Amino acid sequence: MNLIGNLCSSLCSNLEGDAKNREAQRTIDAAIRFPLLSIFKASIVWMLIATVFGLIASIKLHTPGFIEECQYMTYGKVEPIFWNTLIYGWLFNAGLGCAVFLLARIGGTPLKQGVFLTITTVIWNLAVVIGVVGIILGDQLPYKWLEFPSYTAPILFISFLGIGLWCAMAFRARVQRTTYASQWWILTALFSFAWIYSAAQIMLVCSPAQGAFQTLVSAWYAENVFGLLIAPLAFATIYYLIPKTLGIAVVGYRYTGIAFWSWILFASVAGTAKMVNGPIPVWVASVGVIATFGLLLPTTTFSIQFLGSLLSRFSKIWDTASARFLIAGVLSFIVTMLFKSFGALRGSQEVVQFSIFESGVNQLALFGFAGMVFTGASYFILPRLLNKEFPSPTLVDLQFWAHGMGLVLLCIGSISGGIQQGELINGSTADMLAVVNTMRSSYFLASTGLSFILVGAIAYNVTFFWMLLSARSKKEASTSLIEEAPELEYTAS
Amino acid sequence: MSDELQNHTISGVDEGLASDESILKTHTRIRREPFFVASPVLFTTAFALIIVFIFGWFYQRRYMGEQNPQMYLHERTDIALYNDWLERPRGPIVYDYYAIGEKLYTTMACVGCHQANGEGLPGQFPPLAGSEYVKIEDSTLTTKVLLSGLVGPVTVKGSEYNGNMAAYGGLKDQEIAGLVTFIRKNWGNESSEVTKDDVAGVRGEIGSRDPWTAEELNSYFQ
Repeated sequence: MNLIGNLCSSLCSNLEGDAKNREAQRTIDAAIRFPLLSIFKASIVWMLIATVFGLIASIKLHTPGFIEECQYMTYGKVEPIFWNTLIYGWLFNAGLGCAVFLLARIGGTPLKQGVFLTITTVIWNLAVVIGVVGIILGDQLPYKWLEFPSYTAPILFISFLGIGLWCAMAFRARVQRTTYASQWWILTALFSFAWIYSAAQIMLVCSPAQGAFQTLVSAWYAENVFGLLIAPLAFATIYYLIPKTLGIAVVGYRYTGIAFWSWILFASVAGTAKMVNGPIPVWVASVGVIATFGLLLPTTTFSIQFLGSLLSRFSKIWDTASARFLIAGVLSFIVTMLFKSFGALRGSQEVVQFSIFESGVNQLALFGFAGMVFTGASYFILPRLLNKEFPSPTLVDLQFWAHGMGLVLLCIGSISGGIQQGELINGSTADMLAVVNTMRSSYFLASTGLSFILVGAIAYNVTFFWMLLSARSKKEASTSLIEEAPELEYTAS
Repeated sequence: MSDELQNHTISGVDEGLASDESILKTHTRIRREPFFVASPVLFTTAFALIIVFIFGWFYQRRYMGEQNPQMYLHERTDIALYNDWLERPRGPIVYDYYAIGEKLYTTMACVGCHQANGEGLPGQFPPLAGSEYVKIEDSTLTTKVLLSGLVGPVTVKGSEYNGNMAAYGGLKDQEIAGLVTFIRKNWGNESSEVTKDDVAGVRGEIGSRDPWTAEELNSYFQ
């Protein structure tokens, strides 16, 4: 058991001789290896934790007696822990990991101050741990996706400022003057999260807004966490991985600007659509509905770009782990946006507003779209960081299919179950107990889906730690493991 | 399973098929290409833009809500003034029944059968001008026929008619009153005006029923 030795050999590879470009890439990768590995380590462990809490919360819906004697594991605590670890634990770290890799690689220069990035991300993750413990102890706040106790907010915010500062410096250090869509999206995510998080904290916690306005701020923030933080990081990753894994330019890249600006325009106000029929002026909710429907415009551009690129190299999808996750993520994105846009209309909200529909769509957006894309990217990045192969491609395969099957079950259980629940509750003489009994099968489907995803998460963890801790084989110790990438040809359209 | 399918398994490392620098440079060149060319992305984006614009336009017309001045008043004196204005004394609504009836008579089906001059069509549709059913002192007869219709043989001004007068009970009280007033005061008829309240009384008395026959209404002429 030479664990420490193996760990060190993973972290400090010493490979001689290679093509010149590959050598340059290796210096770039080596500069960010330590912070990036710690970020991915955190994200992968958080994914397991989030899925476990999600499964417990889901089981409690159809079997209320599950872990009922433990006062720290009531539904009211487990459910916010699930969402918060999912977002600030798994997806934030995974997205940040992808962003750091993209900034370094597209920037084309070894980045400095890796230690600073490591320290800030460690502080961020400690703050998330403190937040989870705070929720367990009963200090949680009542706002959606802001349940972490108020004392974690300054730590999270300051560590995020550190992360953002590092990324901005990394962007500034780029060699080429021109920029790529991935970099736009990363900067968008960083700047807008600083904006929405501080705005929400000030208006909800520091000096709370009066009355009904609080719910409006809360709804606006929760939608923006997806629209202006998680989704932009995922778009950045997709724009980078398509040429990288398929060897073609993104189809219709000329029109990326339309999608970029219209997404920012519409996504930043889409959250107010949740306030339909709420105690606010009707035009506020109507602007939100129009903006949510307007998201179909960038969604169309993205769909044609991404699907057009992926389908034109369909055979690659089955050979390449990351491309396979990528297409699943893109398909989830399209389905999510259709549900979001048409679910925001007043007619739909009359049915689904107070059902599990919204939570189902959010799970599809986070587990399906962002989760699939970040996981695929990590399967592309990790072998390059560690200069190792996947220890077992079967495990990667297993995670893909378990995650995908889990998503389908979650969709059927939560989204179509949510529509059914809304219709049942809308009956004027609804017997709530009968409704809950009818919904039990949908809850059970959602639990089954989450346990599939849990299997995937375990496979992901095993792959990652196996890869990190195993000794290098002879092939892996040589420099020929990862070949130099060819040039991307420009073909005039 | 064929060999081709079996070969499609994940390898140990995902191949990178484009170098980072070439990704940046190639896409930068693509961004300099002309914008308006026949591209599926541009076509679908334009289509989505049109759909979103049309939806947004009609949605904001339907759901932007009324602009209530009270929302913008913050001085208590202004709010009090506005409330006083809302509660200002308002008199009863005065209807010009003849004008209402004149407009309805020409825009509805009336003019088609009974004609613009109120003479009807000989042998098919009875006249209104000089008709005993219209000129009669007790206006409830005319109101009843208009509300519930009239079927079967009927004698007007000495001629036999066998037609079918449709029921117009779906009209509002002031509209029925307008029509009755119009035909009772036009074409040389000089009978009394009928008001909204009169119609409401008749409507309440007969309820909703099948069309009348001439025999049922005979009592008016005895």
